Amino acid sequence: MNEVKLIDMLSYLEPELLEDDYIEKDMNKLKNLISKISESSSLITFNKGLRSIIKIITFIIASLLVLVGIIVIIIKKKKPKITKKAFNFVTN
Amino acid sequence: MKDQKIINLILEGNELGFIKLANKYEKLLFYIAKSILGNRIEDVEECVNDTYLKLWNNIDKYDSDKASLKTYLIIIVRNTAINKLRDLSKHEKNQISDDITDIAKYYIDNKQNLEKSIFDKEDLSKLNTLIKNLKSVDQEIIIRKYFYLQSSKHIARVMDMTVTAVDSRSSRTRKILQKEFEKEDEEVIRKENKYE
Repeated sequence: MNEVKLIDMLSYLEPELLEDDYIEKDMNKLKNLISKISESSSLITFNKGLRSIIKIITFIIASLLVLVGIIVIIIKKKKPKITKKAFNFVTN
Repeated sequence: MKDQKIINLILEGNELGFIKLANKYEKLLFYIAKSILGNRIEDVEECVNDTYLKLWNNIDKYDSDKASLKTYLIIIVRNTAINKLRDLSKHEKNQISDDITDIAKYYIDNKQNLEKSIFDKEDLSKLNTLIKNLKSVDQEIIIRKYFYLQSSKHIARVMDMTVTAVDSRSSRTRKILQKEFEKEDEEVIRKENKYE
């Protein structure tokens, strides 16, 4: 049957043939797809957030370690002077 | 809100009826209009508004025993969208959205007479019976493709089939329908010859 004629004739399709919810099924599928996409995108955002928090924590720990290292070096350098000063003080 | 309440409100001329109707069915109507007219929002909106107007003007003709309000609205919006597609193609081709489906394009390109066609009641009833007797898969494909003008690609995706399978099934079904109509024509000619 000619496709154009069929489209025109289906304008008079009996309502009972349209009671199957094809369109609502499509809409539900689309809704599910959208929610899946948004779920996965929120998961991606969560992962990104987690990654940046880990980065910040690593940065803080690294800077603390550097700071501790510097302090240790300073103390080590200052230690002999302190002992010298103490020795002089005692001997005097 | 239940459909009968909505209908009663519309029959009373209460605007609340339309607000409730739109809340319940607007998404469905937009989806159907969009699948036929493409993504040009002004055409789709106009089509949905015309559907509400047609319902308003014909609410007294609505028979809830024949069809649910949803089905009634589906028929109105589909036919309004097809009429709009024809009207838009009458003026200039560029008035039609670029993203209409292939079957919608084929329809406007091949419809020689852009006026609404008139069919014999018997032919329409025969077609309805033939469609009712089709396998449910073929029935769904025919309705999706030629009633809702959905693309084969979309049908294949929602029905978990290949595009080739959709196309070959729809082509085979059309051939069956054609044969059945030809068979009847032959019978009519045979009967006429018998009486002559």
